[in-house]
Formats: sequence, C-alpha cells, structure tokens
Amino acid sequence: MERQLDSQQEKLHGLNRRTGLILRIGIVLSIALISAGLIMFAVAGATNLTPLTPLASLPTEVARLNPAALVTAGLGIILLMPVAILLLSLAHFLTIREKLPVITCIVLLILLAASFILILK
Amino acid sequence: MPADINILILAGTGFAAGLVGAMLGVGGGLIIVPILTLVMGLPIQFAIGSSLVSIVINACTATSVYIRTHMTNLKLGLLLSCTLVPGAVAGAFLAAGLSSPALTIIFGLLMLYVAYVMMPKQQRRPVFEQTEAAKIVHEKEHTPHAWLDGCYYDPAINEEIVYQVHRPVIGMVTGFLGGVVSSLLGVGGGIINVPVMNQVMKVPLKATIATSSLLLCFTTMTGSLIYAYNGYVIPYIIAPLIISVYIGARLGATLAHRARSTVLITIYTVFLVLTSIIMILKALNVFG
Repeated sequence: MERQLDSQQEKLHGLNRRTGLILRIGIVLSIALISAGLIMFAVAGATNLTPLTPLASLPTEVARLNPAALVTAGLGIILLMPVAILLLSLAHFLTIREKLPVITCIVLLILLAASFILILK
Repeated sequence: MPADINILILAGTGFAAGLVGAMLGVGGGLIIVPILTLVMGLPIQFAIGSSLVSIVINACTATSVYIRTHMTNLKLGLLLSCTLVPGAVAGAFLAAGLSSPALTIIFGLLMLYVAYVMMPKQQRRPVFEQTEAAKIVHEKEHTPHAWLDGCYYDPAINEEIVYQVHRPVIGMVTGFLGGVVSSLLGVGGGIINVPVMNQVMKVPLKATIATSSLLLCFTTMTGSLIYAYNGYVIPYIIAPLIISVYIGARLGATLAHRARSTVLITIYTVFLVLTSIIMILKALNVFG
C-alpha cells in the first residue's frame, strides 16, 4: 500500500527507526553481559548473594569476569536505554524546532535527574 | 534471606512470567513477586526489586518492536512520563516505609482486582474497543493539543489510522497513580495506564499498548534504580530471571496468535486468586 507521508511524519518515522535500533543494540549488549554473568554463577555452583558492583570498581571487575559485575554492567546498560530514548528525542525535536515536545523532553530530563539525586541522597 | 536459592526455579518463574505476560499482554510482576515470596521465601522488597528489573528489559524489547511499526506515540509517551516518573519515585519510597505484611496485603488485593478484571465474562461488554471507544478521525480538527495526535498503519485492516488525543491532563494525573502502583508493587502499571489511554484519552488500542510499553521503560527504570540503590537487587537472583523472562516473552509473542487465550486467561485468573489469598493469609499470620 502506498502511503503519502508529509515531511514531518517522515522525520518522526526516522526518529522511531533510530530509537528502535538503539534499543535493539542495548538489549543485545545487556543480554550478552547478563548471560555471561549467569554462566559464571552456574559454573561456581554455590548461591552467591553479593550485591550489585559499585560503579567505581565496575570496569576492573568486569575485566576479571566477576559474575556480579557482569550482571551489574548488563543491568546498567538496560537502565540507560530510556535515557537514550529521551536524549535522541530531544535532539530530534530540537533539530526540527518543535517547541512543545522539546519542553516535554527537557522537563522529563530534569525530573529524571532530580529523581537520581533524590535516590543518591 | 534464604541461604540457598535455586537458579532453575528462578529461570522457570521468569520463563512463565515472560510467556504469559506476552501472550496476555500483562506484566510478569504478578507471577514473579508471589513465586519469589511464597515458593522461594524471599522478602517482598527483594521480590519487587527483582520483578521491576525483569520488566525493564521486557518493556524495552516490546518498545523496540512497536516503535519500528510507528504504533508508539512518542510525544504522548514522553508527556505522560513526566508524571509517571515522580509517581514511581513516590511509590518506591512508600514501599520502603511500609512493613512487609502491609505490602504483601496490598499486593494480594491488587492481584484480586486484576483477577476480577481479567475474568472471562459472557455478557460483558469488552473493556477495550478499537473502533467505538477510540473514535478514529480521518479529517483532523485543530485542537489545543494537536501536537500529541498520532497516526500509524494497521496491517490487520489495511488502513492508515489517524487519531486525536483527548484529555491529556487526566492522563497525566492517573499516570502519577500508575507510577506509584508500579514501584510500590513491582508490576508494570499498565492496569491503570492502558484503560485510561484507551477509554478516556481515546487513543486506539494498538497505539495504547505500544505507548504503554514506552511508559513502562521509564517507570520501571526509575523504580529499579531506587530498589537497586537500597540493596534489594541481587545479581544472582536477577540474572536467571531477566534471561528467562526475555526468552519467555519472545516465545510468547510468537505463540500469542495460535494459543486459545480463554483457557490461558482462566488458568492465570485461578493462579491470581489462589496466590493472592495465600499471600494475604500469610501476611495476616493465619498459618502461624
């Protein structure tokens, strides 16, 4: 079926495709890291109730193939995906100068930042 | 916290949650939380934290599929997330302040409500409708919130669906409530957002479900971060859950068209009623 899309719709569809691609890449990376962590846990055999790895030591622990660190890294990637959607949308709406979506994105970004600050307190 | 946790039970729970969730369009939280608490003996806060992180990956996977078909209304999703995110923060802090029995009773009551809503009824008018409730417009009128209007191609009817979004303020207010419920109980929050978007905001059902997945990404991410920061997310528990939820959801999406949904809904409803009663009785210390 031939559909005639105006240029604004075409641009929005472009944003949808880019968002879908970013999400797929993030999911694949995240699943790969968590699977690696799960395999390492299974190899070790015993129940391991260590908490999530702190951000500061995450790169070194991932390099050491620490299972908890691998799972933490995978979880971190998936938790960053909504932020990636938001930043991608903000950049898109800024480019096409759509005022209301830009304001919405900025408000949501501020709310997310405020939530993170509140969590850390 | 139990000293020994069986990865296979976790994997089975996640698989069932992903499969049923994808086939019935419900969040897997209502399966994960009761099994982790009743069968595995985990404290409910750990069960909710684990459930939320499993739903994040499920929601992101669903969004990645829906957004490519242009069914997701990105602008509406971002607008509603502006109240959902504070709601999710409020819900997570509320959960931290509640005792485990109180939280368990609230969760049990929510399960009973969902069971009632999902119960197959012979004469009942469908809860969500595509054409009547969501008045699809072909000639767009100018409204104050025209920037939220959407369109997508529906291959089932071979037609371009153009729709207007009504009452966004009501959607934002109830969105806050959806965020609270999601983080408080470790469920998606779609039980609130989907009916409001479809019935009140007049968004067509397919666009509603797709946009609801996007909303879930934001709410469950916020809730997950709070539970993770408070130490309620354990890598050993979430790894098998996330992987199996992902596999179950992908299989469920494939089987969704072939399965007899009434049988599945009946089994799911019975499961919800029985587990909710056990959870409430256990929280009230009836078993001693």
